[in-house]
Amino acid sequence: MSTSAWILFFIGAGIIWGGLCVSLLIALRHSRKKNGSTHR
Amino acid sequence: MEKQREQWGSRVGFLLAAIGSAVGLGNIWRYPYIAYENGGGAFLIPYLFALLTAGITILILEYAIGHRKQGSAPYSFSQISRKMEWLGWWQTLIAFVIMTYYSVIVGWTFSFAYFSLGLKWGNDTESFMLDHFLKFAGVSGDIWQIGGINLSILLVVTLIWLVVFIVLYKGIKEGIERANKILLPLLFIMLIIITIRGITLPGAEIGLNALLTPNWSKIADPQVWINAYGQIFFSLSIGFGIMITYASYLPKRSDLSNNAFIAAFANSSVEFLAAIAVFAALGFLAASQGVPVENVVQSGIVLAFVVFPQIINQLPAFNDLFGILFFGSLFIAGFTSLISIAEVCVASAQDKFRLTRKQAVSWITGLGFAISILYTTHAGLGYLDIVDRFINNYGIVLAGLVEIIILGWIFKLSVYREHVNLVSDIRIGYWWDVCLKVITPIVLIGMTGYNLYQEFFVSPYGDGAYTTGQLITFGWLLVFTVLIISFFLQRIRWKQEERFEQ
Repeated sequence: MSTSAWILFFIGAGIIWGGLCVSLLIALRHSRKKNGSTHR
Repeated sequence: MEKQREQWGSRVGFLLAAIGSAVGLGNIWRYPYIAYENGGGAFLIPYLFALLTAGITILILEYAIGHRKQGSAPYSFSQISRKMEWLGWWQTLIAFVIMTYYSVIVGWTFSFAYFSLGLKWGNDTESFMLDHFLKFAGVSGDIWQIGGINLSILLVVTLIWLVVFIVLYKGIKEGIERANKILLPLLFIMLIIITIRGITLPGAEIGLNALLTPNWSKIADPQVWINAYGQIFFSLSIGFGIMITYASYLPKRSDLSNNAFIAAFANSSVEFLAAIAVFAALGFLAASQGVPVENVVQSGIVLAFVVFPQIINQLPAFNDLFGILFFGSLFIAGFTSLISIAEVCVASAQDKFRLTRKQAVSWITGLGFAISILYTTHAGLGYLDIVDRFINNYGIVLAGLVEIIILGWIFKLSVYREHVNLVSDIRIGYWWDVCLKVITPIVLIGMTGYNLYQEFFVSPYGDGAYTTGQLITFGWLLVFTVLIISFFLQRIRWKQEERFEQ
């Protein structure tokens, strides 16, 4: 693949998959903090 | 007295169902082509902008409506204002129309997973799909000639509706949540296997280069931005009541904003992964045929049922297995979305006509199945083509536009923002109001204007594919009938005291 294609792949993957990981981590952290309510 | 409304069993259950609804056929067969056509790697900029300004914002709004009002789309809107109930019915009827043809496409994917065993489609995959499987050539392109029913397709569609009936009949927790808890992880695993196989094929880098090499000049093209918003809008299952319905089954203390972020990013993650898998496979096909990638790039039905069988034919090994994985993942993506679309109608019927869940499921799946028979006829592909285009462009987009304009400009959006902030981990600020009140309506109005221009001045179906009479009957008449029935349904009185009767 060309360099620009690689760069855009990492940017796209970073934002999209990174965004998913961060939001999942926030959910996990808060669910541990508020142990007792599975929905938060 | 109202009984307790059914609820999701867990946050994970709700999230998997919401992601299962958002991840549909479009993630696999629409996004890769749209990204390639609209600037390749450069498309990521308008796409991510649309995801943040329209996708996640509308998702949060619809979660907030459903969660606050604890009811189906018509009930929720009627609780905002009695005069707005029609908007909920409009969205419900759009969902009803979509599920009638979506179930047939899901049936096709099931059939093609079976055809993968022994590569039953042969070498001429186009003629297999159109002539042998759909028998579309039998009506010579004239969809006034219904032609007769494809019994093999009808049989599979009957099976699909039977499974949809069972899943919905079992309810939210035992049916929809359980089905998604099994199917969604399976879909992710299958997609990862397909992607790994795709990128290890000879020629894959040619396809990935075509997908990711940026064409920066496209960024200045307004059409690219409209396409990015269109992709986000159609992909996230917003604008036709699904997210309102699903959020209505959440308990009172449920995080809404972070759930929207997770669902939206998960949906985009699948799209991105699917694009890599599809273009790696297209690069392999182009290399094996000795042609440029642009010669083999397709989207939608042609990509899935004509081009992919060609790719599967060309694979060096495990052709059958790859076919089952590809069509199996299309089937799962479509099926989990189909369940959510049907649930919109079930919840609305249950709320309005004080039906038990079992009665509502029987009515909706029975009616849905009866109408879907139309798409199993020899002319079915033609009906599907027109109905899909009209109900998306002048149904979902307009219903979503009206929803955000009315809620943004006539009612107070801040009520929903405060509701979200009260229960959520991630607080949303005034940017959310700006996105919903200004940015998204402008783009959706632009999108509708462009679609109308295409409809009247450029034939989007190819010259002479359908007559004006056919477009009026299956397109405009359908769109207006759906709207008129919505107003009619608003006039029927509610019996709220028995709304949640089981």
